[in-house]
Amino acid sequence: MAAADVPMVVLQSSDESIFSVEQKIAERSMLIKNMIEDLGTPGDEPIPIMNVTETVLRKVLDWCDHHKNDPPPTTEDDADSRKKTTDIEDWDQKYMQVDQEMLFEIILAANYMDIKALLDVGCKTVANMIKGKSPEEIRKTFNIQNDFTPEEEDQIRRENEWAEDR
Amino acid sequence: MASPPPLDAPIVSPSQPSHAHRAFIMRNTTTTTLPTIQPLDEGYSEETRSQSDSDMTYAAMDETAVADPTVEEMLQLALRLPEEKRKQLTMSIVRSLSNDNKEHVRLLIDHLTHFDPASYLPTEIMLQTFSYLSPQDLLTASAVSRSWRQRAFDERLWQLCFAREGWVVDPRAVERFESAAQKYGQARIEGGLTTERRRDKQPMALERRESRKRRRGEAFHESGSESESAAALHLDGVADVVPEMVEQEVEEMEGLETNSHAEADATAQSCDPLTENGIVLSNAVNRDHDPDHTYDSHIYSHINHPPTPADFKLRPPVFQSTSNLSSLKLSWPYIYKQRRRLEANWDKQRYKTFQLPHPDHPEEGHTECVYTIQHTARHLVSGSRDKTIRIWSLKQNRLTKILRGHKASVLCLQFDERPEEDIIVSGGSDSSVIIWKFSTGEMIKHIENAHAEPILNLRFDDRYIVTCSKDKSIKIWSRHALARDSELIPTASLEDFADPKAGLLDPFTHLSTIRGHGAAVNAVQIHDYTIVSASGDRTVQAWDILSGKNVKNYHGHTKGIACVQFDGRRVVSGSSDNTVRIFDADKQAEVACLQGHSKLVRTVQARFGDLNITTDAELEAEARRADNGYHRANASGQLPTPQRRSATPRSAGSNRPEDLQTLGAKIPPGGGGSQWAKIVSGSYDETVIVWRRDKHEAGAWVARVKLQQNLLLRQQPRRTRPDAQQQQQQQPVAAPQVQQQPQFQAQTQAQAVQAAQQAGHAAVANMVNAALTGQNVPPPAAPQPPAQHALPMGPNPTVIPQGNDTPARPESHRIFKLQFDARRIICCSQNATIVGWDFANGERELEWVGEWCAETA
Repeated sequence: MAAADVPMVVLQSSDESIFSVEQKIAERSMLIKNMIEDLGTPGDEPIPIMNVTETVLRKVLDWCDHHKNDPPPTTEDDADSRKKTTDIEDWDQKYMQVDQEMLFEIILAANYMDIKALLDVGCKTVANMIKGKSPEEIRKTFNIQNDFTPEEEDQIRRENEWAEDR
Repeated sequence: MASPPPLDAPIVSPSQPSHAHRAFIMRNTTTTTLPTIQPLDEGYSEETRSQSDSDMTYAAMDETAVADPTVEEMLQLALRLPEEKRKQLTMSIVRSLSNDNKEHVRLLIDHLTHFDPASYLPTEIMLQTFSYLSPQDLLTASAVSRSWRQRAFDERLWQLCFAREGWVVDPRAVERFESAAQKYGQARIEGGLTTERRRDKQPMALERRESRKRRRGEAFHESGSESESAAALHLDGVADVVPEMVEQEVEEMEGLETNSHAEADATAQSCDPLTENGIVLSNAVNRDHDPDHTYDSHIYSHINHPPTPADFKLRPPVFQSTSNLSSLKLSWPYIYKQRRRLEANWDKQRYKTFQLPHPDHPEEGHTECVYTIQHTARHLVSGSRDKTIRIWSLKQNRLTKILRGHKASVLCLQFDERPEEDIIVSGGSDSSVIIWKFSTGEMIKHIENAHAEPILNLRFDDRYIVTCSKDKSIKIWSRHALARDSELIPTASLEDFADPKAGLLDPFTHLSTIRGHGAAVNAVQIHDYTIVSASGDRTVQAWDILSGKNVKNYHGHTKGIACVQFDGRRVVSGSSDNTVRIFDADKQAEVACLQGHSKLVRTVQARFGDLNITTDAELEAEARRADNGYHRANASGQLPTPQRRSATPRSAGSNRPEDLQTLGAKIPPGGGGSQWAKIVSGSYDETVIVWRRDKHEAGAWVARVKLQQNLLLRQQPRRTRPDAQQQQQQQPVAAPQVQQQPQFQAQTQAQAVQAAQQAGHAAVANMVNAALTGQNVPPPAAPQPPAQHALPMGPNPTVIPQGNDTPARPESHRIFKLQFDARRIICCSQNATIVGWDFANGERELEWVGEWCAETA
């Protein structure tokens, strides 16, 4: 298949880097898809992705490329999130092995660009960093300041005993 | 431990952390680093808290660096290098440092590369992240920091957690509570009381709370700190809403006693809250006798000052923090917590027993055995061999109405108290079916000779009434007036009804009859367009209402079947072969066999607790996983040979490959459902068993608690002095059996035997002993049912009650019918007294949540 047959779009990151991307890949983003639908067939004019820097946009487009043939999101995804499965497929797990700043930036970008499946994977990744840890371990993981007094901490610990495993 | 951060410490802006982070790097590379670094180290963790000395050194070093123009110049030079070079340079410099300072660098790097998602991510995304956490993890998250705590107690999260447990609330019950609370708060305000005055009285109120006989705040056993007391206080205030609700209900009842004839006096007396010392009314009495109403103020002050989200809240408050006077909303973290605590009481076998009639009012009780009961959170309706139906208030455990109309025993009934339904349907030994208005007790319709023989069971929904009889048939009746070509009318009957000149079909018209069972039909269920029936002919069958055809057959029981439940996915049945079996409704396969009773299982209720989002496909996928486990084990030769397999006892529904009884089922072994799934069965062996799925037994059903109906009554002989009875009621009377805790079992066993012996029934003591030591002990000389109990068909017919044919046998406590909900198990037996186990265990908050949760079926 000749590359010329594939419809392309041009995206511009917040720091003004230009990406030429297959339309199908870019349309994993509902933001871009809706823009294209509203503005007609994209020309050479770049679509600005205001809040996303070059590094992050590149990373996000990697994901879109890998998932370009996924079926469109269904209502079942909603039911899925209600069931709180934090299973992440292997490729996505590897993809999410990035530093925390990048992880959060990917999540923010997925949110802004309206890529629900990527947002879900990002949130699940963060959830998996929290699961099964103690409060102190969570604080260490995310460098969080403990702003409870020792008395408060103690009270909270005792109050939470009702939920201990049966 | 942690101390509060210094007030003047600058903190990286939480709103735009990435920008702030960049700005921070900029500052680092140019001028002042000191003020930024200090709070960061402070906030890192306890490791660093002891390092204030080295912090100082660090700061001092930095200051020197800034002050020294040579260093500044070198830094500028270094920063112009490409990244790879900068990295090499930095690494060389770090290597040159003392270990102490290397540690400092490490902390700085930690700080620069780890971020608090609660600051970095918008709240909505943080909530989505939290939505993947279990309640346990959410509680841990709530202990991380104040901002995490605020997010972790989000209402939607806990509503989701609640739904994921398979629990449901009755929106009406919740609304009733909320509006009562609201009304109550407003009434206080209209009284012109100022918040300040009320607040001043709080210490006094606290004293009062502690002096009251019945402490509401059993959840708050750790009272002591100020914030805890405050939490208990505002809860306590809300607790006082309830008496008012009770009073309203009492008024309602008083307006409705028109139908009780001879008992009118007793009923009227029972409705006066001030003359009684009933458990529930005691609070109302307290308040009425209290001129000050001081503790009433707490709900008011709570309402007027809903806590701001930033407040430190130790416990989930009763109402949502966004609540205001015009709309009080129960908080989901609170509902979840109390619901979970209620479940813990089931697990730990903490309950109080009660009975109908109330021990102080034996005159309100049935005079002969009680064949059928149904209850909701507020009412219980019972039908007896004494030909009456009695309506009870479960708030006071008092009789509210007696319905007379049947000419013989009332054998079955169902009711729906909701105002738009307002109906009781009953069937009896007199072969008649009577439709009553629940609210007034008025007889709406008396269908005499509805069947040729006694009506053994009936069920209705909003379309049909289905009855079954000793005459081996099942009949379908309309609930409402129907067009003559209504799609609800079974096909075969359409022709009979077709008369273009005639008007609508009357409500309660006989629509069709299903024949097919070879013996009495003991029980029916209706779900969608399917009827499931259980018969003395040893079969459970499913029928299509419209075609009238048999569509499924469930084989497995080796004797007649006494009871059945059908939820659309599973059929659960109890039999004269002493077992409870669970069948895959669609594939007709047996997925579990529960062995624990020593006589006929007469009544069973199952609540699998499917999430309302569980699809059939998901259950089937779970079933396939169990199948695959079997195939794998089989292929690797891990399974016993067929001979040995057949010798092993029937599976109680574990998902172990060797226990799998059926391949290709639509539902997993044991039937699936939530972790709180329960089956409660009642038997002629005079016990009630609570079955739970045991995670240590690969999900198999295990008899978790065995409740002794007879013991309860032995200890509470009727018509003795009320004070003596009350004293007895305080004791744990039913004997729990815990399989995992042999010591505990031995202890309770000894107690139970002792109790029975004290009651002067050595034979009973032996029986109790047998029941407690396990299912394999044969029951002592099981009395054979009299011949007239036997059904006409089958070599081992199911025993069913025959109403007036049954001789009164005061010694027997065979259980005829039971029902459980989130909070109670109630059962009736061959004894005239209805008994119940209340797992709220006397705690007001658990009683509330029991009322909010409509998990009756």
